Amino acid sequence: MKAILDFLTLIDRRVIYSVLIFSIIIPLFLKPSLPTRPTQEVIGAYNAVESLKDGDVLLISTDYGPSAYPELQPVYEVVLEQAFKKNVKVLLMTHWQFQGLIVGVSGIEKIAKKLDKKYGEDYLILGFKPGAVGVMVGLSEDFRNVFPNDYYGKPIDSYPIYKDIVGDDDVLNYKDIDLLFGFEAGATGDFWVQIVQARYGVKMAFSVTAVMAPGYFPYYQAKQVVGIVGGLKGAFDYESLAKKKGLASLIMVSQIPAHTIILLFILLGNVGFIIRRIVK
Amino acid sequence: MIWDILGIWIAAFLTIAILSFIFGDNPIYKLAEHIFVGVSAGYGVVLALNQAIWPSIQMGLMPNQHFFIKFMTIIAIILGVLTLIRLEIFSYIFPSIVWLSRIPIAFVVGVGSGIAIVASIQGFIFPQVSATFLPILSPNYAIDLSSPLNFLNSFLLLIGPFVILLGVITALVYFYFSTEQRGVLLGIAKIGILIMMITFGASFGYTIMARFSLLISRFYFLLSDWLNLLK
Amino acid sequence: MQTQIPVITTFISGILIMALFFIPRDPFTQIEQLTTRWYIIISGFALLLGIDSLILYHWRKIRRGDKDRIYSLILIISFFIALIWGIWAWYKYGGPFVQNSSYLWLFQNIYLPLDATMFSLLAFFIASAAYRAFRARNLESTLLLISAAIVMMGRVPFGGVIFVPFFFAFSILTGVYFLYIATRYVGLGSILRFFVGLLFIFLGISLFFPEFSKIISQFIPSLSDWIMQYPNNAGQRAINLGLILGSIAFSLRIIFGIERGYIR
Repeated sequence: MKAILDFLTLIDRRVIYSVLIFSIIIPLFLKPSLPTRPTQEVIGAYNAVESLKDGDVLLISTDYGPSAYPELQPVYEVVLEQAFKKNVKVLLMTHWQFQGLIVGVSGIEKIAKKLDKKYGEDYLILGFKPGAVGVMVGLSEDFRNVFPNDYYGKPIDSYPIYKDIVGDDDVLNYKDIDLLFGFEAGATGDFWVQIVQARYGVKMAFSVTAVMAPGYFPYYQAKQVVGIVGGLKGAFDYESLAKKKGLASLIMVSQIPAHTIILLFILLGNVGFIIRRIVK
Repeated sequence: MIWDILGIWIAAFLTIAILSFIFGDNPIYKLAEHIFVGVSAGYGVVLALNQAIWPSIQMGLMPNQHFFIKFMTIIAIILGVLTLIRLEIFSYIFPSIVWLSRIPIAFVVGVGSGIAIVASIQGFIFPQVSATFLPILSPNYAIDLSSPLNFLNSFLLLIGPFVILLGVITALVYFYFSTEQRGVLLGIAKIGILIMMITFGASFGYTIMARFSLLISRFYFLLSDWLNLLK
Repeated sequence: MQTQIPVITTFISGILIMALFFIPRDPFTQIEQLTTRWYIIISGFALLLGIDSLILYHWRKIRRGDKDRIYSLILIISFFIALIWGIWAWYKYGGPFVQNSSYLWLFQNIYLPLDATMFSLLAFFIASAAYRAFRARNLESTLLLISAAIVMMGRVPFGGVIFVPFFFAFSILTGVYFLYIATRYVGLGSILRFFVGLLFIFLGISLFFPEFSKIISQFIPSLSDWIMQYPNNAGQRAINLGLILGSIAFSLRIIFGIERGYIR
């Protein structure tokens, strides 16, 4: 009896790690086609981008780094494709220093090249500025106050896209932004909602890591954001809505055994614990 | 091309070096960890110079500006430079004027705190509290009896807003420590704890999903980009 | 004076920005823009703080001849390689992070794998910790466990189907456990635990019937969505309300000079 109990509750951690590694690697070879069931909040985010029209302005903020890459980059690329196909003008900025800058720029350059979009006419890279809350407040009056020059050092009002998107008041600010899509791995998403959505009424949707996702449901329920794409499942659903097979669809298959193995080990631990309590 | 292949091999080596930590701390892991910190710091400095400091200086030197705005921008740059006195190197060279660097930091902290207060109240408290109460006024009374599954789903939708209201109030009662929790208050707080346990369980489930997504993508990189086994 | 001037600065800047938010008329919007411009410029310089402490700390480790000084040397060398390469790429390509810059090679093949893999280690440690510590000891932890299981399995394809056998085993086990501990309590506590135990056993046995388990397996994904949108919502909102009220109080304390930790 004691041997069984020890087996159940004292499995060596290296055994756990090895089982996990195998359970993750093997399904990657199988490549099955998985059913999807997009949830309400993912459909909300997808429809928000789909409802953009020719000439609308999409402001993207890539506030994440390599540690959120598999969860957010697939959605980022699909959103860009959606927007570019509709001839939506895209502005890119980041609060996440060099990580956000590089993942954002590499994504947009890749999709722009694929869809033959021109820099300065169809999209503009604003870049990074420090002081997240100050940037958000500063953009409310005039984008040039925060980003006088773009990522490459040229004045932003020297580009054709600026003249296209600036409104009647000749100043680019939140009134000209039709949708803000934030890719968040940290607190900046909360700042976007609390500062920008509440004060200036900008329509926003977010793609967030699964760690942050539970915290965004209150905003969705309060209708402060129109959609949330949370974690890998959200990215997988978003890709399926857009009928694409990206990174999320390729690695989703290994989540099933991963979650199952975790539950199995928790169950084994509890079996041992409960039997021990009853026997004692 | 050779750089691409070399790059993938270096990336694979560093990935495996970090993963080796699960079997215990070892020199390869420490090597990778220290390279990570060094490279991050280097990138951080390059970014600060390229995207923040140099553009700030350009902003101050821009020609077509109102004199007052240009003057104020230059004052900001001077204050920014004052912040740099806080660097440890300078504390050895000019120890007596290090306190000047507190002024720009105090300014930044003050502005941040001010924005936080307004944003919190206007952006969080008002919308969230109203979203807790308002859905009660328009509940979804349609119970669908066509199949057990539909019945369960429509029942959950019906009780949902009430669960939110009950949950928020009871959980907030749990956090109320200004008086001793006894009797009715304790009972309400206990319900609050149960709601929060559901919340924590959901967060745990999502955290597992997040961490495993990342791990799976690392293995995908090793198998697909490095070893070319998944094509 | 060395403490007073910063404290007064904080007070003025905090009150100023709050007042400016409530006066959307013309000279004041200009002042608001100037304030945010100052904020952004000063924050830019502040990005450099801390880096020198890191380098000097490791430099001192090397000077002292510590055991791990070789790693400190590697850190300093990596820092200078990244810094010099970045400045050189800035000079050569017009910007260090532009698409065709060789500096991105360093990011793609050194920084990215290190950053991503460092965080993915947590997956192993979560699994090991969950196995060792996640015990359904009382009603609260059982609820946490069930909620976690429903959300985890509801979020993967075929999760409902996998959930059923686990829940069957778990509910029989927990039911027996709660019936057992009901004998160790008296009065209301005992009755409550007895009923909870019976409930779990009933749920477990009912999963034997294929009709019922089929309904449950189809129900789990929508139950997991409901948990995220309603109870999780409530708990998150309550926790965040508490946090926000605390942060408002703390921000007020900073503005009024009661908290002075930032000017150390």
